[in-house]
Amino acid sequence: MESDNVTADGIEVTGFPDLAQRYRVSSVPKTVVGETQEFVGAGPESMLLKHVQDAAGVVIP
Amino acid sequence: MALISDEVAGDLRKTFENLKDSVRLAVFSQALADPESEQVRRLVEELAALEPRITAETWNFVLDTEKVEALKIARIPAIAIMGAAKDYGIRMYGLPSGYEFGSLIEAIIDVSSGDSGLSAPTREALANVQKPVHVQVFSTPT
Repeated sequence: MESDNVTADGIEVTGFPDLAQRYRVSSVPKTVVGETQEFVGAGPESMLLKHVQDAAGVVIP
Repeated sequence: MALISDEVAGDLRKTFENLKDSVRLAVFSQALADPESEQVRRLVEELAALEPRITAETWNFVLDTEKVEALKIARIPAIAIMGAAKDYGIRMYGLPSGYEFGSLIEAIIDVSSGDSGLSAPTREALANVQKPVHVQVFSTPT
């Protein structure tokens, strides 16, 4: 909501075994940011932000 | 039979009293290809019936290709949770049951208020994201 560049999907993965396989979802919740960043479990806001910045190639001074 | 029980419906009506702006829920389903997707359509229609500021739009994933492309719907069942004037790019895929039902309600509240609830430094940082970033959160029914 804070950036037009960031979109978010919530996916109930049992209905989509292809996605579970593609993103190697073995435990949930699993968050995939872009195609490269990921983490399992509920992380703090700052951690999600860091992944978003990394995926966007933002250089953090 | 209703998917949302009378008890839950009563709680939701109270919750929705605090909504600010109207919210559009666009559901994409297809009965033949995916019977489960019809459950999601029914769920969203029941939600919309609880609160006049929540409107349900139903689209056929196979036939309504223009809408599917416009809202970038990848698969079904899908719900796009959108503000009256703005689509923030929030989508839910699959049947939102259990904990995920709560996530859907939270998304409706956030979109209605236009407030993400994030901290000021996070908002500032997100405003500087110049490239598209797609966040996907995977869950299972609880």
